[in-house]
This record gives sequence, C-alpha cells and structure tokens, in this order.
Amino acid sequence: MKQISLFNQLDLPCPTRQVQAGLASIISADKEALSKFKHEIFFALLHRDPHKYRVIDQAIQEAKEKGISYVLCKISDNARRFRNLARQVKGERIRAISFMRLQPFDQHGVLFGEFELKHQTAELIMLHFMRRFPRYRILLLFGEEAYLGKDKQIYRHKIEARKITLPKAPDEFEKYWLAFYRSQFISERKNLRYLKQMIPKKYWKWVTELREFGIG
Amino acid sequence: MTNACKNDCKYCVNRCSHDFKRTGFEPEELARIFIELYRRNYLEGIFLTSGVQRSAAYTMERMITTLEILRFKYHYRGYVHLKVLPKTPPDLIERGAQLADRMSVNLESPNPDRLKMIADNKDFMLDLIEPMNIIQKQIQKGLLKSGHTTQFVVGAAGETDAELLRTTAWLYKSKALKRAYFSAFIPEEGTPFTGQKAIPLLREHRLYQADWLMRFYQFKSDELVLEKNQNLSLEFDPKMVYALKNRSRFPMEINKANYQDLLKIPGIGPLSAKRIWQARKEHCFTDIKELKNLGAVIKRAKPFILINGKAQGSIKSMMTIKQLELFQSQTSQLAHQSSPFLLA
Repeated sequence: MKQISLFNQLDLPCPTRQVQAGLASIISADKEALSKFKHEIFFALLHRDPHKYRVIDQAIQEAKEKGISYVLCKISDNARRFRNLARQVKGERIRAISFMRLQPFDQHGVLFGEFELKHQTAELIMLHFMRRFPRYRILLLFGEEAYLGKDKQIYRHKIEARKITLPKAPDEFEKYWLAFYRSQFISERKNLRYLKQMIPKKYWKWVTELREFGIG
Repeated sequence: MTNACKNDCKYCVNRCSHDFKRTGFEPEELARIFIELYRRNYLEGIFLTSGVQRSAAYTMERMITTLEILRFKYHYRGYVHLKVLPKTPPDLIERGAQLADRMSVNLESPNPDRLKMIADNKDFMLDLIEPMNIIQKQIQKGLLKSGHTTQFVVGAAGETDAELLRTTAWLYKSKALKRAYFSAFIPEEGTPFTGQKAIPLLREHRLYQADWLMRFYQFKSDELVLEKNQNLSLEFDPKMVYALKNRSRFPMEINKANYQDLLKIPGIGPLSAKRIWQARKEHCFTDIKELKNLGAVIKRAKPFILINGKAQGSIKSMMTIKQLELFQSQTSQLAHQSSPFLLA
C-alpha cells in the first residue's frame, strides 16, 4: 500500500510549477481575494478535465491583466469555466460526504464506505471522515482504488473492484432509518424537481431511502 | 421522543383527542439509535422534538437527558437543534442551551387571537414569547451559536401573509430570531380540520421569498407589496412585485447603482450584487453577457437595468399596460402597525 500526502487544511502550495510561477507574478493588495483565488485553483486542479491546465493558466493571465476580482466574479467566459471547474469538484466532495453510507466493522474498528468519483476528491473525502470519526479507521472504496485512513495518515491501494467482496450483514439500524424516513414522508410535499436539484440523479443509487419510495 | 401529547391543537395529528397508537423512546434508546445512524453517515445532526407527555417540564427533562447521554457518554460533538415546548420552565431552557447549538419555539400563529383559534390552551405571550425571551438571554451569554428559530403553520387559522410577515419582522428586530419557517397547512385525518382545503405550497414558497428579502436583500418589511386580500401575489415573486410597483426606481444603471439598489433588481441576488460591486472596482460592464457569466438571471433582470445608459429590455415584454395598471391599483405595501399582533 502506498502512503500518500495528507492535505494540510486545504492550504497546500499549488502542485504545478507553472501555476506557482503564475501566482507569484500576481501582485495583489487584496490578500483575501488572493487567498480565495488560490483556493479555487486548488480545487480546479482536482478536476478530471485534461484541459483544466489551459483554463487555469488563462485565469491566472486574466487575473494579472484585469485583477483577481475580474476572475473571481466570473466576468469572462474563461473565468466562468475556471470557477465551474472548482465548483464541480467542491460539489462532488459535498455529495460524497452527504450520501455515502458507512458500514461499521466493530471487531476491526473500521468504518467502510463505497462511492463513485469523477474527480480527484478521494483524499478530501477521507479527511472529512477521519476528522469526524477519529476513533475509527476509515476504509473507502472508490472504483479500483481503496483508501485507508489510520493514525492520521492516508494509504492508497490499487485493486480490482470485482475481487472485493464484503459481507453485507442485515443492519437493524438501516431498518430503523427507513422506518424513521417513512414516518416523516409527506406525500403532498413530494417534489421530484427539487429532489433532482438537491440530489442529482446520478447519486440516487447511493441513497437508500429513495429506493424505498420507488424513486432511486 | 414520543407522539403522545396532552395538548389538543386542532391542526396537529398527534393531538390527544385523536385515537391512534402512541409510542416513544427512552432517552438511552434514542441516543443510541441516533449515534448508530450518525456513525453510518445517515445523519448530519439531531433535531430533537416531542409531543408533550405529562407536562412540558417532564418531557423537556427527558429530551435534555437524551442530549446529555449523546454529549457525555457518546462524546457527540455535532449539531443539536432542541425544540423548546410551550410552558417549558426557565431552568430547563438554561440547561438545554448548554447542550444545544440551536433552540426553537414554534409560535404556529402570528398573534394571540389566531393562536386561540387553533390551540386554545396555549397563551401566546406567556407560553411562547416568554421562553423565547429566555432563549435570547442564553444567546447573549454566548451560548446557542446557531441562534433560535420559529415555525408558523400557514393558513390553519385563516391568518394573512401580512400578519405572518409583520410578526416575523418584529421577531427579527426584537427577539434576534435567526430565521422563521413557514409550513403550509395540510389537513390531517383525525383532526377537526379534516376535509378542509390544504393551503397551496406556492403560498409557503412566496412567504419564504419575502422572508429572504428581509434577511438577505436588505428589504424593510414595509417595502413588501401585498394584494388586496393582504396576501403576497401567487403569480409573481415578491421581488418582481416590488419592482413592478416601484417602476419609477427602474431601470438602474449597473455601473453606478449602489449595493443596496442592486439587491432590489429582479434576477440579481446577494452574490451577484456582491460580484458586480467588487468587479466594478477594476472593470466597467459593457455587455449583458458579463452579467450572465457572473450569475445574474438575465431574463428577469433585463427590463430593470441599463448598461452604460443602454436599456436592455422593457417591462411591456412581461405584461401589457392594462395589466400593469390593474396590478398597480390592486396592490399595496405592507402597512406599519403599532403592534405586530393586531389582526389585519
């Protein structure tokens, strides 16, 4: 298993030299805006789009010429694309930590979960669960990569997903959850359009309670 | 904690005169179920509420015990919203405030007269506003970092939007309320309201829109525009209604309008307004596409803006002059009243 870096409070220097050099050349009196710009670059770099570097470079160029606010406020088409890259990455992180269900294996002190990711958000998601459940080891499966979090370190292991078989014991608490959800469900308030807005369709298969109501 | 309740509120499915099976949890049971669901990532936090079993004090004591188990036995550090039941003694509110992030008292109705129509055993001032005062004191002490909230049942007692908004504005100003929730009345089986017509969910939505205007768009309550029946328009959202009613203020020049004025333009929210205001320090807007990129809803904003002195659309594209005149004559701004609790 390969040990990988733990992001330090999302405040890492940007990983490409080109981006670092570009940022160094921006002189901004507005420290807050510069920090936000770096933050956005950090997330945009985690996007799966191979063209992201071109968009980020152009955003840095625009920031140099027209100011950081011009980019952060999404005035140009490229600035909008740049911020959309960051937004999509942040969105995936939020959805994964909201909709991924964990299965406890108490004899090993492990919480296990599985999800599909498009972007490179696995470490961010690991960080979230490691902070939330510091007494447990976190084991998450993202496609063909397994991530293990223990002792404040994250380990990544390449696997063939089909070889993984995990015992799925009937969970009484899942039943309680569905009973609770059923008791709170108000048919008059069922609003599929809003549901799709809050939980995009591609995530429905992970949300147990939606299946129960014939939605997922 | 339980669906058993000694109260007999006319709108509520759990009212004591409704004959159905009652059930409930022991504090330890509820705490364990919650923590197990939390561990499985089904839940982000807990919103703890209950029917009133025996007395408000007895039930609140059990709710607080549940929270103590969560905080001290299971070391749960996440979010807790604790409902404060009507008639809860002050010492229990103080204890609850030590454990919760947010507390709430449900007013259900906007004033004492309306409350009497749906829950005649509750005293609006003594049982509901007084606990709110105690919660407010806890916030002033630095507790309850997420503040306090309330909820109204919309339409159960025939109240108007004017009454609801007036009370809501008063709560924001005088009680430091964080936010109000509106729940459109849906008649439940086994209540005296069975068979009555449900309130359209669109009315609830319009109330939330008006509420957002007061909280995030710097609207004063008397800037909200109502129809003759003292309700918000169902046809247009409250901000559009404001703009149509105050046509003389529009169109506004995007490159000159101040932040507060930008917030008044339909299709421009607090985020877009902030971006326009920030971008203008280094940039002059010349094209409507730039506004679209930064997140403004152009279709709505167009009739109300100028870019470099150039109009982008006309109100006539939305309604005819005749419709506009009719609209003008049939709407009025929310009137001031000496007390928010007077009936409209």
